[in-house]
Amino acid sequence: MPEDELSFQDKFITSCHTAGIRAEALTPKEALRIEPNVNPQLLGAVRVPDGTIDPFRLTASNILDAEEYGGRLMNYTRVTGLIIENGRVCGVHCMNIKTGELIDIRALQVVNAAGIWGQQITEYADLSIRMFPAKGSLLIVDYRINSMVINRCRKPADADILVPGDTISLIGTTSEKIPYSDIENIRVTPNEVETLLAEGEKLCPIMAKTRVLRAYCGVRPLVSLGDDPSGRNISRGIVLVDHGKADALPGLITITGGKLMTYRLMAEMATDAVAKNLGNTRHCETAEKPLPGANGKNADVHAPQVSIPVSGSAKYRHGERAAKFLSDDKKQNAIICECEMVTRGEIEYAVNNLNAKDLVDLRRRTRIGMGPCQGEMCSCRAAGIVSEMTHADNSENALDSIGEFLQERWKGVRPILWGDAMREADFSYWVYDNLLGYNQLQSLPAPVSEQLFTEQDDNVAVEAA
Amino acid sequence: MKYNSIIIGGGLAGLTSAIRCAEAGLKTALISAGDSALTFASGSIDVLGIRQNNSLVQYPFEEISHLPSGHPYQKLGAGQVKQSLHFFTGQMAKAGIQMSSHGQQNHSRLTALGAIRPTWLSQPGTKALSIAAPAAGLRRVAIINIAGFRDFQPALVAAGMKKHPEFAGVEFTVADINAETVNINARNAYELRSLEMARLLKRDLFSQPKGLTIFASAIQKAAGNADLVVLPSVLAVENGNELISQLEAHTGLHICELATLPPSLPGMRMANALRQRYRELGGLLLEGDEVLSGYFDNNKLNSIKTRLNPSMPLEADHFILATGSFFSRGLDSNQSSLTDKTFNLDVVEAGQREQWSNERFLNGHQHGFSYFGIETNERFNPYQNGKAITNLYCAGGVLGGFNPVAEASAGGVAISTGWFAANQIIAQRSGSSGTAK
Ligand SMILES: Cc1cc2nc3c(=O)[nH]c(=O)nc-3n(C[C@H](O)[C@H](O)[C@H](O)COP(=O)(O)OP(=O)(O)OC[C@H]3O[C@@H](n4cnc5c(N)ncnc54)[C@H](O)[C@@H]3O)c2cc1C
Repeated sequence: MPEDELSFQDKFITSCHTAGIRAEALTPKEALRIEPNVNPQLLGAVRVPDGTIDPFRLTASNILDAEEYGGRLMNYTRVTGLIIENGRVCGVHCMNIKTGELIDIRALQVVNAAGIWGQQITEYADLSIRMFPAKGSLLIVDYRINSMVINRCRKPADADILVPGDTISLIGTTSEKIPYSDIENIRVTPNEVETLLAEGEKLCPIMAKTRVLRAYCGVRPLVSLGDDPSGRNISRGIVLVDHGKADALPGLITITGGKLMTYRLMAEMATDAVAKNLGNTRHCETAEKPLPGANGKNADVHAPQVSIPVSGSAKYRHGERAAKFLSDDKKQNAIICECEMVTRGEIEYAVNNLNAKDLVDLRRRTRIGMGPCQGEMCSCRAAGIVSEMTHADNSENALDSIGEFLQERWKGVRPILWGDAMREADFSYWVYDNLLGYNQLQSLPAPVSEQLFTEQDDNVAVEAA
Repeated sequence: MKYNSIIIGGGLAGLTSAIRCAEAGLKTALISAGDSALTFASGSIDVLGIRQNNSLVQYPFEEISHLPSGHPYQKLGAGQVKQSLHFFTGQMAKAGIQMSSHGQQNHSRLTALGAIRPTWLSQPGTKALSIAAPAAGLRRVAIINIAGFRDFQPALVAAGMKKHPEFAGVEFTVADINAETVNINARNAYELRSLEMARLLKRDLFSQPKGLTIFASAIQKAAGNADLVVLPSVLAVENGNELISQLEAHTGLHICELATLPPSLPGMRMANALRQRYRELGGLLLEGDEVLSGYFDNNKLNSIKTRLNPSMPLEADHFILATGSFFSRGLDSNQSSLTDKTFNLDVVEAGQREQWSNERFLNGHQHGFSYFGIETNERFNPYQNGKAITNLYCAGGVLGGFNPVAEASAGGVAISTGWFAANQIIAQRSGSSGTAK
């Protein structure tokens, strides 16, 4: 952009080449041909190989993979302490945050991969890993403005990247150091929203006319190494600590830092360390084996009864595993979430196979309620299905989870509450509070420790490295 | 073309005032951009049902005097509110829908999530439950869905009702009448919306000679000996209330229909009845057009420009603005302020955006945005830059100063302010006709 230094472009291209990354300079005209919504005032452009990840699908595939190898996911279970016996970590004390049930889990090795909360876990053993919480906010707009990632060509700064995802684009991110004590109470501030909008419009002016769907923020789990107030210049490096070696406390390994980009490498490093401690010499196959659903090209899914947008969305989310629920059955094919084309079959699959126990889970596995209407219609429909599928005495939970689900959506809508978002919110409020009388049902007590487990929800972790 | 009165907005407030004007012989035009809030309203009329502390109001008219002074009801007083509702009930009856109330008391209606919500006036298809003892006389309730209809969840209705302590001893059955039983032949019956379901049922079932009996016996089978049968409102738009009472006669059961997720058939039924009544009275209805701006002179609105006829402004002696709230586009907001989209009238002071809403979406406390709207004087004239516009009145959801959702007052405010605005116009005309002309 005119306000950025043009000289940065050459430096960027040379550095890419030094690092072995393809980088080719484009003329403004070429850039505009590839991405017509880019600000026509651009002075130059560089094309680099870049990509995006759907964090929801990634998470679901990992769960599936782990379970297919015999692992077990204990969702909504919080570690409340380490079991330490004879100077060795032998497991964890846990609590089910939905039921309050206390559980102890014993293990030969415990891996602390609690992200920003990793510091708390080590504190249970009086160790100290100093985390450096850097809050990042982003806005999700209701339209896919760009087909590939668009970045400002300058030193990393607030709101310099526009990322396309499924049916939306998102403008991100900000970076702000926050005190560790605030990690569970983060929110997107009006200032951040303003910055994101103003800078986003510079990347693609059409953003000014596009509806903002919601705002999101998360905390980057950086490990404090320097003294930089923004956290921008802190290394995003991977930190692996075998506390047996570092602190003479065997049985515990911490893996943290890094980026979403590097998560498989981080997993491999941690697993190798565990294997070594256990005397297992088999080499790690993580990097060689595709995740469930990632065999797409080899296993195409046939779904003649389903319309292309429906089967396309299903495959986008589940790869070849979509074959497990795309069917010839009318009831299974009924679309429950029209914004995101989620069918009843997909919901049943997520409940049966992907550990989705309520609406909030279901959203992360299937994208229900993530579209323009933010769950207005589909939350009731899906809650009905969940209660129907699980036994009858779960209906009350299903009913309650409608409120939790809407609240969770509301968190993202509130920071951008004007224009169309206001219209939509007004409409939802009428439907739920007046037509359906939801408030008459309950005074909605907040679930135990909801913050910890919902703030990280939309981990739209797609900032380019 | 000059009218005596032009009403902008075809929702409950606009239609009520238009009917009142037309009935008084005024040359009236009603301009309406699209569907109104009635399309997703329950089809019952709330007058005043919930106090600020969330307790239920038993006698809404008595409660009016406890409201804050800027509230529309305070400007009218309980007497006028009552009169307006009486007028409304009369008009609905003339249009074929006999609305009922429990005298001066509120009653309860059941919602599609099994909640019990206070209201004052209901259509016959809605079984009005007692406000003090909603479960009185009920031992067995059957909740029945039709053809796997997606926008009604019987299990959730049962779960919601069970939450109410009054229903603790009630036994619930949940059943589904499948598409084959009721003969409907759709591409995918599981994907229909309420309105589409009603159309198909009309085509494939109720227009057949044995349709009603087939359906009645399916209900009997599904409901057993329930004291109350709950159905989603998907059976019919026109004459839906009659259909329910015919089914009751056939089955000997008490049947209650519930407005589903939008669109809501009972609400649409009410809108249709009011439109029909207005047309019968000779009113002009301009649907699908939208008012873009107004020409103001000397604190009066002289004419308006519409989207379909931008070069031919419509003139009138009096105007009523009944364009509804945000969802109806009566009000609009940008990042820092609120506006009335149509005329840029003064709105209730909104403060910082952070204060426009609560941190929790549904917690029983009203959201600021729901309270916002146009500011008016005692006669419901709005202001433009601080000056009252004397021949323009505001009515319904576009008004500020009340909490339609949280206090359950939307319908009553729409009807009474619409009726009042029309009365003002009528009174001025009869007062002026002898002198000026
Ligand atoms: C706004 C933003 C943008 C980003 N953009 C990018 C990007 O574009 N590219 C990229 O590569 N990276 C990006 N990142 C960084 C990346 O997302 C994170 O580094 C990565 O997701 C961290 O993964 P993690 O598994 O270490 O931690 P997390 O994802 O935080 O996972 C930790 C888990 O531990 C759980 N937990 C915590 N305490 C307990 C306890 N006591 N008991 C049980 N469970 C507990 C938490 O609930 C959570 O599920 C971004 C981050 C943010 C915030």
